[in-house]
Amino acid sequence: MATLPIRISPHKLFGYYIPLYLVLLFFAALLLFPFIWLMSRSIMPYKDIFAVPTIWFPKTITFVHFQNMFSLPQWPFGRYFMNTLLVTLGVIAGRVFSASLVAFGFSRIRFPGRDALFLLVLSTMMIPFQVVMIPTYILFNKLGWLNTLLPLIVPSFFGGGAFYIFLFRQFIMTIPAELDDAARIDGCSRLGIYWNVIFPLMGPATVTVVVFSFLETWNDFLHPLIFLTRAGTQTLALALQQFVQVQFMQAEMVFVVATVAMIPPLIIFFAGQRYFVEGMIMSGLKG
Amino acid sequence: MGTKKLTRRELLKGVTLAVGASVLAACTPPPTVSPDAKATAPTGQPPATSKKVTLRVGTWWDIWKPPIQWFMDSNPNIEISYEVTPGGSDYANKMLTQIAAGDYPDTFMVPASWFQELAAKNLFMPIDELVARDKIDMSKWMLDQYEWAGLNKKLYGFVRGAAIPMGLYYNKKLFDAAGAKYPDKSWTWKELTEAAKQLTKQPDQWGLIGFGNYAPLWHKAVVSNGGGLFNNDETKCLLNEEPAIQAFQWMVDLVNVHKCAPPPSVIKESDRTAFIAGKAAMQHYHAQWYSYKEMSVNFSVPVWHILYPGAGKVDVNFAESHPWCISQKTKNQEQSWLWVKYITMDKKPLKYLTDDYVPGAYDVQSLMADLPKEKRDHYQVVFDAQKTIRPNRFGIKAANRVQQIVNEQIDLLYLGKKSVKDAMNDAVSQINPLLK
Repeated sequence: MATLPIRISPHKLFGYYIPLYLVLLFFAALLLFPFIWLMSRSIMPYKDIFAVPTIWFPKTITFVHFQNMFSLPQWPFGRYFMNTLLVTLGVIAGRVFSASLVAFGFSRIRFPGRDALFLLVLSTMMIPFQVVMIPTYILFNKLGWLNTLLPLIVPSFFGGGAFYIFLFRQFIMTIPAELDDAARIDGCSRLGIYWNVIFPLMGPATVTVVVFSFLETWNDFLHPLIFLTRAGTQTLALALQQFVQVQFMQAEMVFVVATVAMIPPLIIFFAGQRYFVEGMIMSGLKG
Repeated sequence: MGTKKLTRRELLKGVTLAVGASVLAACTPPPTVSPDAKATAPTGQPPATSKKVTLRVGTWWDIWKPPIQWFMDSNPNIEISYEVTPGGSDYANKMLTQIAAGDYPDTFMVPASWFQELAAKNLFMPIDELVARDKIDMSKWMLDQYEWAGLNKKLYGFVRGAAIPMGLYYNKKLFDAAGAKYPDKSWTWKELTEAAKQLTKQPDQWGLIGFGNYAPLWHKAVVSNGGGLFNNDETKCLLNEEPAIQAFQWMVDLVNVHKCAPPPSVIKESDRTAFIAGKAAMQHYHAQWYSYKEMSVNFSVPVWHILYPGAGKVDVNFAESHPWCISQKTKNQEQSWLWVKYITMDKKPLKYLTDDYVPGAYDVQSLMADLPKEKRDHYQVVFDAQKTIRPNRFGIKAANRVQQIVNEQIDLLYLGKKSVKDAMNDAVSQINPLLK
């Protein structure tokens, strides 16, 4: 881990660190500005939202818009929230287990054509969803799954996606093969090695996958757009877009809905931040 | 760390439960309409058949729940499966996927800008025979349905709403402060430019919010100057001819030469908040009731809107009104037809939607009679101009691509990267092959 020098010369302090932190603070403020603006408007009385001159921070705080959000009769946001949560949990579960299992195969089992097959899997990352949108739609239509959450959840149980397989594989390759050998000597099967040895050691990679999957699935718009149509089946991202288009005059509600939709990903990101960074840099095993 | 670690067995149990719950919930059929929808008296139309059918109704504008409930109440043999998709490119993605997969709603609202292209591909059922059979009085429509929902002399649906063009909204307070004359119907580009220059007080105030690349605005600029998008048989694009070049030059000069309108990168043409906040004295915007209400009533800014004749050579306005069509593949033709008639001609849903949105195009005078005076006055401006309003369309062969090409070139003009002539020559060289 990098550490700051204990003694910093005034020259370095004023010539390097202070300007550096000022620049960082500037960019941090720039990035945070839209979020703060959004959140401040969600707790402002309606008359203050578009007041001229602009009111940046609420003079009076009100949570009445939040109460109203869940009592809009034509917009069952509670249901949309639950739909999104179910899809997100389902996708995370499917992805963690199937992607890690596939990655275990690619990293630990030697078989003819393994590397070529792995390249083929990786190459699927370059295929945008739009290319497979129509055949996928036809498939789910034939299965009778349209307008249910199944098309959003079930595919994650079949490999979990090339990116996540790659992420797990890279992590597994940093785990010494001697651990597998020791388990094998003790009579462990291949699946037993995966489950008893490898999976427990994949904490940082798993949390990374969980955080990535949560953010991706929670914010996903295109898949729900294509597979969900009927009123009441929508996820939060889809409903929010519809809400903005129809209720744009109710600006305070748009701010509230966007704020509420943003809270779970923020919590997940900050809760998993340490693992997220560790997983990203693939720091390998600790002592 | 002193906390208890989760064992793999516990983790597996938890995940299995979560997945099980997800799957169970995912398989639960959703309700088709909101339970709060008001129950009302029947419309008086008999059910088409005795067998109960599910009718798939598609739209991007989620404002139809009560009318749907009323329809089902009066037609107990029809259950509506209400399919709502967000509008714009999202609706395009969804609808084109459904069409390509051969699985699209029985009846749906078709974006005006795609109507002709999709009708030419035989995706919609012609309704001429049904119109004749049911003796529908076509003279009651404010818009010529054959122009707005027809192709090659066949009718494929009805447009529900009146065509609402872009009005020129102006802030009376700012005009009074500058001692400027309010805009009127005699205005052309010349008066608009002069007023915009007079009302520009940088850095606080712009005279006018620009045209950006918004199609109904540039289309009006081109046609009102005697130009056009295509020749009559749509085999050649005319945007590189002198009237069109003059129109685009005028639009761009407002920003780059006269500096009385902000570049689109600073304030977009659709940015209502800048106008409402008094940062610009004039803005073109939809002459809808909700636009007016938002710009005026809610914010106490005294504004009004007019329709002026653009360049002054041809009196024209462009607008969109989206037809309700019936799928060529539907197995529920009668029920679909019943729905199209109901949503476009029945006074009750039309009146319900007139409260906030576009007034209906059918029997509009009777609808208007029930409106409060302020709203009537507002829409009278629009209705007075109906004869000059034309559908904002971009051809039968590649409407969306044509629009995209022109928009890209207009963006380059504002950035000063090309001369108008070069940009339009480039646009035409890309568009002409699409017309073959």
